[in-house]
Amino acid sequence: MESNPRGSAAAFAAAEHAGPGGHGAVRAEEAVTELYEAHALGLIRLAHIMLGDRSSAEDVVQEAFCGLYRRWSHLADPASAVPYVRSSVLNGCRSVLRRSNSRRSLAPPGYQPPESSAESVALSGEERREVMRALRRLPQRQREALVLRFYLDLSAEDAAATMGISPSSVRSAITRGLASLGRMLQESS
Amino acid sequence: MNTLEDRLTAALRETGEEITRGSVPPLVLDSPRRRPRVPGNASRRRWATRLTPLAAAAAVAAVVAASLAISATFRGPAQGRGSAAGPSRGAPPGGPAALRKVPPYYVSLTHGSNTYILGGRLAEVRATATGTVLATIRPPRPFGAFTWVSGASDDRTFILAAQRYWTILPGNRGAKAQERDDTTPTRFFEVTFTPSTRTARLTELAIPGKVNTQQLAGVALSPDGTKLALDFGRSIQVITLATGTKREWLWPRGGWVGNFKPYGQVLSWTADGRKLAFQQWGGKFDNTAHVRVLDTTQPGSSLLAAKLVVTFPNKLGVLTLEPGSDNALITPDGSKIVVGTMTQARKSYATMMAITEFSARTGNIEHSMDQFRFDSPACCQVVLWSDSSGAALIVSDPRGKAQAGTVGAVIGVLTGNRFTALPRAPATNQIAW
Repeated sequence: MESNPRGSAAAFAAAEHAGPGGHGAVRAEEAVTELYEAHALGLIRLAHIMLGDRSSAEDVVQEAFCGLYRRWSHLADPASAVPYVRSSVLNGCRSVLRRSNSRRSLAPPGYQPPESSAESVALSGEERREVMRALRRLPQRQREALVLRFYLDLSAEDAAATMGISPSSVRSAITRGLASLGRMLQESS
Repeated sequence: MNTLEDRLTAALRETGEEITRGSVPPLVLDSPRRRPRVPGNASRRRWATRLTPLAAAAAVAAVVAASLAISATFRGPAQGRGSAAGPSRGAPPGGPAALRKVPPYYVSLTHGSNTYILGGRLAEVRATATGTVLATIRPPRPFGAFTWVSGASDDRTFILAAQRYWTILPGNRGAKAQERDDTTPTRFFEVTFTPSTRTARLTELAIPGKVNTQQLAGVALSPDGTKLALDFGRSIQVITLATGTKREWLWPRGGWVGNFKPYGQVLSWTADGRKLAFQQWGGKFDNTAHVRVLDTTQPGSSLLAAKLVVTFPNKLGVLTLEPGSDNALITPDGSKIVVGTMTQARKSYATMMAITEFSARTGNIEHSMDQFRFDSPACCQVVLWSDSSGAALIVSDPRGKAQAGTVGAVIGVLTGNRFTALPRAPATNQIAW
């Protein structure tokens, strides 16, 4: 059997080639599943970076694809599916962080939720933990801009579309985020 | 790039790589019939927040009650780790005697892990009781894949549909491959299997006209092997193989006839080769499903003449057919319609799946078997074969594991609500006895 990276455009092409009468729901399922196969790994990694929690990351991505499935017929441009899901994942991460922040407010002073699993903490280097800890202390917009730019390697325009802000705001957030990150890392060293 | 950016990039990459490709969980999609969330005003949200614990408690109580009811339905102890929160394991396991109630050989199309690819690169003739591959059939050049399989009742004769290009490989070939597929007609081959020599002979059939690969949505060989029924979505054709004569019935209204390709057969014959059962779906915004039986000996060319046996409304909380994925077969004696059914709760995602037998005469439920309950919409329970009266069935069921829009379920024999898995059966629903 041939390898199957399953690209998004073709997945939606398959969805658009609905048969007579439209096998709508099934075609959507097919298209969304193909998108999931192609992009789930990257998006779960993205959510994991944003949240520091694997199961929450999986839930967020799952929910994002379910949202795409529910709304797939309203998607004007098939090519916008991946940016749409990426934005959904970021929104989902924000919601999870908001909820965890409100829970944290009820926790004893000084309590910090675990950033990663015990196993990953044991395996990860001090350097990486330090950078990630500093990253999570940044304001949400700066953190997202840095992750989209330096992890997903998105352009300012693409990151702006994902975050729902202007490209200049993205550039500004990246500059400020890097400056803050540098200060925090310098303080901790 | 300066050092800070290098450090950030490395930290992000290492953190991301904690998630490995093999650890990505399968996608579990909502049912299309799941009700959309309606944004409420602030006070409604406050009430919802206050009522959530009560609702959760009520849901747990309902699930426990449902589990108890299910357990009481079946004889014998509960199987596996079925619990209020987890999936039930359906019918209790049967014994090898069940394997003697089904035909000894089957043909399956072998594909890889991707269940959405239709068909397979090759077809295998296997022994039902052991799963041993007795013969392997490759599509003759220039064909590249088999896409449909159907069997006659003599357990020696099968039909394979072949096409030149592999269907839909997004990312690899993209739209061009699809376009080629759209314009490459499907051709049909008869397989004659000889058990004594373990050989399978392939003979191309002369089918009149061009069979568009993308439109072909179902294939069923008549039990005596003389006729081939083809589903084209808006019509059904029956070809008499000896003469190549074609008869066509059209579906004149909205919706379509058939099913989504990987999910089992949608056409089935009675043993006398007179009646043909098929599924018919409503239009784009009405996924009501109907099972109809067409008397092919009667005059006429409209599928509206087919007898409407069962209707499954597109509603929550009632027994229905998942549009596009579950399927229905008529038993060879014409007495029952056997359907993979589901019931999704009105106010939760809990889904009960089952194999349900309906009277072909009255449309009333006669038996419900192989029930599974999942906490979320699940897929799929497919009926693959039936003995004369529906007493022994071959089904594909999830065996306690929710399927996320895949067909990777377990294939086995269902006799009196006892399930006997077929040894080494491939994970495919493109399979025929």
